Amino acid sequence: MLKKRGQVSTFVIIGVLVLFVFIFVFMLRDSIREKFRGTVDREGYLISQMNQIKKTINTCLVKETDKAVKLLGESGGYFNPEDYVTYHGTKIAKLCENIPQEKICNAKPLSIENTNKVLKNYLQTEIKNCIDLNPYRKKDYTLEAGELNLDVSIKETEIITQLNYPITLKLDNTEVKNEEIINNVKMPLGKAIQLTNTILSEEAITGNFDVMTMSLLSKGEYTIRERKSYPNKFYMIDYNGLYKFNIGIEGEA
Amino acid sequence: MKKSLVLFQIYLIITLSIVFTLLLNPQNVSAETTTQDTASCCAKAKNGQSCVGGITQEQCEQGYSPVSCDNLNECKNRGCCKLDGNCVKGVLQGSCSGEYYNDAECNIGQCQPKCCVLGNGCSLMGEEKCQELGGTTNDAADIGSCNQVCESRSKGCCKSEEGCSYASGDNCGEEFFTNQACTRVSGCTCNNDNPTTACSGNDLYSYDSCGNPTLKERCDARAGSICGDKDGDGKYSCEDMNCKNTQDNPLVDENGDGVLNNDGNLRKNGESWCEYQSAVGLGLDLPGTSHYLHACINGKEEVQMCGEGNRNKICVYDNSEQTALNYIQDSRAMCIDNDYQECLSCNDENNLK
Repeated sequence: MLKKRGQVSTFVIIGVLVLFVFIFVFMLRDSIREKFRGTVDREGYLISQMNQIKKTINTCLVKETDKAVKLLGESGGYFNPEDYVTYHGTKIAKLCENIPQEKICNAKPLSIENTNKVLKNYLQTEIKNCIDLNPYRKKDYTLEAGELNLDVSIKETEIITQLNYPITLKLDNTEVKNEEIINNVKMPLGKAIQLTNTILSEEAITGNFDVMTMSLLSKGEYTIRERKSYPNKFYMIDYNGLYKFNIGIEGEA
Repeated sequence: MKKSLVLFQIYLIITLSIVFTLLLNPQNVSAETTTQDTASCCAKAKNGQSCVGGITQEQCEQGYSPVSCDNLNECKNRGCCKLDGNCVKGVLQGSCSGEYYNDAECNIGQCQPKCCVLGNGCSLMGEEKCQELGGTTNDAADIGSCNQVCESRSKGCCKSEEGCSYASGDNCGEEFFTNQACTRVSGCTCNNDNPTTACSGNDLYSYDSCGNPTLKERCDARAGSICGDKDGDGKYSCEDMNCKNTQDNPLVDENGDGVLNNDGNLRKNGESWCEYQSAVGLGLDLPGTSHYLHACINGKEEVQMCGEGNRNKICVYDNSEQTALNYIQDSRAMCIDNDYQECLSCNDENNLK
């Protein structure tokens, strides 16, 4: 009986010792990993971390650009328009201003250059807010982030965004830097701006625009719909569900 | 007497205190009047919009004036704006970020389209747009003479060290075989393994690896077939753009054949027709109803209300029979002004002749 008791105490002691060893290893896991990594592949580790950061940035760039270009189309070429007409609660930029007691209006055309700037300013803030680098700052390396710089170029059928966000990961003497990210969003914003100006040109001179003929001539590329919400008029260009662009024309109350 | 003196003194104290308060605080009174007057004009707002009235100085990026936009020349003058190579008519000077001209109708030389030769094709467009696309302009002023420029350019097989391609002689710096397909030129290897398709007018062409064109099909536009790439996948074909089933109000006999529910049938591409909410004409229109213009546009039925919802416009249509071309009905409809005032003038016997 005494012998058996002794056996139990030995097992308990061994168990406690194993537990202590386990706790000790667990507490020192970072420095052990660090020592092991230092000899194996410090650079590889930083590159894999940088790839994850790039993925985070790219996801934000794609998501935010897509969202912004769609919003820009919905609100008639400007974000949060100051000068607008309302269609079912949506603020649409007023691109043709009513001339009192006349059927025609004064056009305020959109330019690719100005829309580039508008989109760039909006996207720069949105992307900055979207990218969350905090999970990467709590790691065993140092993360240094520079100034975020975005370049936007609106083409006929696509929008090219070039993001320069210099990030450096440092671990002892090893350093890894990222490169510029380029993204293409396939949406015909450039074409929509050109078509908008054609519509405005006609509205400003005749007070009308023949949507049916124009849609027919596009051979199925887009459809233009005319909608009225007294006293204003709206043209809605639809590139077969791929992209939508709204135009607000002020009418006389 | 004493009582009236006391009352007079109280009156003096009250009135004088009001007068002194107003005299000592003149800014408050004028400040109130200024805030009521919110007229302002911003040449360029922070969100990019131009000639915006009624916004604060903080919302304005440049050119803030405490007067209404109607009083500023740049937000009042109306002209022509050349923007991204195109001319836009009736533009406010301050909203033109391109070249501004004083002619609102754009009847100026800078806005006249030029004949642009782009590769093998010719089309009318602005000079800058043509240069941007890498084309060259010439003096042909209308589309007819512009097309002739391209037709007169001989095409054929251009043989060079890089290979053979079917192109215009102007672009060929090396051996050129006029009016000959590259398949007939010795030393040229062309295959049709991955042919590409494209439209020229409403004709569908197939191109081999050398760019030799072969007419595949003439799309019949009158039958609703249009050469195009509707889904944008780069594969062109003759696409059926007719509308198979169209909407019909079963309570109204729009085509007047005595059958109520047979109006929503197949409509050809480009056809337009009227739909009514009730019986129409001769005082039969119900109060609150409107006329609607329907059209078949590239395979989709488009609906547009005539007027602003108060029947200030009505929808009229005409069915033209073109049996020679094997068309039974080709409907054309439009919204026209509802001249109801003329009916009222019929009540005046002076207008009756």
